[in-house]
Amino acid sequence: MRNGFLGYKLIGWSGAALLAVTAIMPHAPSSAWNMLKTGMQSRPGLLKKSSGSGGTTTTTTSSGSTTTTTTTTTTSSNTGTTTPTATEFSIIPSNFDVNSELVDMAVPGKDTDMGAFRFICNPGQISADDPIVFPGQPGKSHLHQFYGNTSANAYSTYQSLRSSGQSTCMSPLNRSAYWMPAMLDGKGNVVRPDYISIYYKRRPSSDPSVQAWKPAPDANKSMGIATSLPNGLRFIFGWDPTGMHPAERTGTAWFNCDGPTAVPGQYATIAEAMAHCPAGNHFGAVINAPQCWDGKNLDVPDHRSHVSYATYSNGYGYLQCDQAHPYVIPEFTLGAWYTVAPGDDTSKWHFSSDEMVPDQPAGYTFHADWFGAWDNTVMSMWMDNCINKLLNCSAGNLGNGKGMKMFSGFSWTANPRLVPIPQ
Amino acid sequence: MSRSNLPGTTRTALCLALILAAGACAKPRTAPNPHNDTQVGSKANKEVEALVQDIKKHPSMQAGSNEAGAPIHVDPYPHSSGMSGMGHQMGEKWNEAHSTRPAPKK
Repeated sequence: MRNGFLGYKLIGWSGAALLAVTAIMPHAPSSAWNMLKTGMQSRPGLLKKSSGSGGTTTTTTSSGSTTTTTTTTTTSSNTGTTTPTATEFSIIPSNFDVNSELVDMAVPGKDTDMGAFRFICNPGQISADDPIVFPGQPGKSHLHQFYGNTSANAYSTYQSLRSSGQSTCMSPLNRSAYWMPAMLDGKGNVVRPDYISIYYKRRPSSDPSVQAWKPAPDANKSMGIATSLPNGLRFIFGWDPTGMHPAERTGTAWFNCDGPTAVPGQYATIAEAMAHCPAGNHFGAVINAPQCWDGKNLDVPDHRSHVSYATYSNGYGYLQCDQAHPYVIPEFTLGAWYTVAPGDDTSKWHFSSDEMVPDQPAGYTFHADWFGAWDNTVMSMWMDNCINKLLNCSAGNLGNGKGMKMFSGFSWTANPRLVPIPQ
Repeated sequence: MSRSNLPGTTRTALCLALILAAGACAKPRTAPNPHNDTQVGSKANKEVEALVQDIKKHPSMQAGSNEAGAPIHVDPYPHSSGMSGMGHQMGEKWNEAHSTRPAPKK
């Protein structure tokens, strides 16, 4: 009897202790409870790399190009904690007068949450090329809709992108190449989007949350270590045909509708969005790029594992990069906006890559690729001003009284909108 | 001396209630999530609409502006179907799988 009572007492005190903790930490997330329950599970150690030492320096080569070496200097000098060890490509200055592509613009106001740099693009070329997955092999991929550098093709390298091509993204100051699977109408045509919105965003480098990678829980809610986009960085994000990568490597892709009779939403499939997107509206395909980088590689064999997405998986309610990808680069969101015209049978619309998995709904394979090739001077402008001064920069405004020019002939509607796929 | 005046079953019930209450409080909380679909979609639309308006006000976009960059040339037409010729075949397979949709005419 006595022993039985002791058992009840133990249970009672345990319950009381749990209640007390609940009162003290009413918002403790699940993992906090897991820790209480399991007795302080092991925590990840601090990143042990120190400035100028440790880590693996990886020399990245591209077909038909020479890789030159310049150790990354875009580090968190104000943190003194870690330094990326990537061997990035040497700066290739623009082969035109940068000032000739700048225009006066008023310095924008502050943003409240993240520094933002936004611009817009017209659709570019359509080809079955993929300079990341199938370098040097034209026609090997599914059909892609390109944006940005007009010269991007299967043979593109950082060097070729930086030294040639115009840009559908306002100005050749941004010779980066962006591409995603072409939208097909199911009747033998590619549907070209009217325009593509691109937003680069991040917390300013002075923000305590991006000063250092620290294991959770951290008073500064450490996300990682702010760094700039290294020259030559490239990656694929979104749907992974191998199915080998966890969600933190595939990110978020969704569909939306904008316009006078649209029902906005975060729709999972093209069909769901189209059901709320009558003719006369814009159908949007939106995808977020990863914001965490390993600091070592500009590309890797699977073209994904060197970057990842910040998640809430630390269990403390704030976003954090994983320890293997501790560097926080500006994240970009790409939205391709297509006219839904009278007479369109949107039930047939699908991405070219959807044809690889015919049992899945249209839109299932949404993914995108990015091959960076910014003019370094201009990239520093929007990084130093828009991002690091927490400005709300729009329309190519660089946050320093200047903005990128828009090329002559920008169009709000795709012309032609439908182009035939060669048989 | 009795340690408690409560009968055993009451004590058991009280302890269980305490534990259940604690368990409820400790229910796993999910990370801040996407609110609801409409809110996310509306917020995204406002952002892109603001960008569109800002582009319309851009110095290069004003009528008669000499602040625009050079015109660009884009070839909008694809010159191959992709997938080394498999694209068409796979397209048929895709259409078959989505049987509610009639296959495209050849």
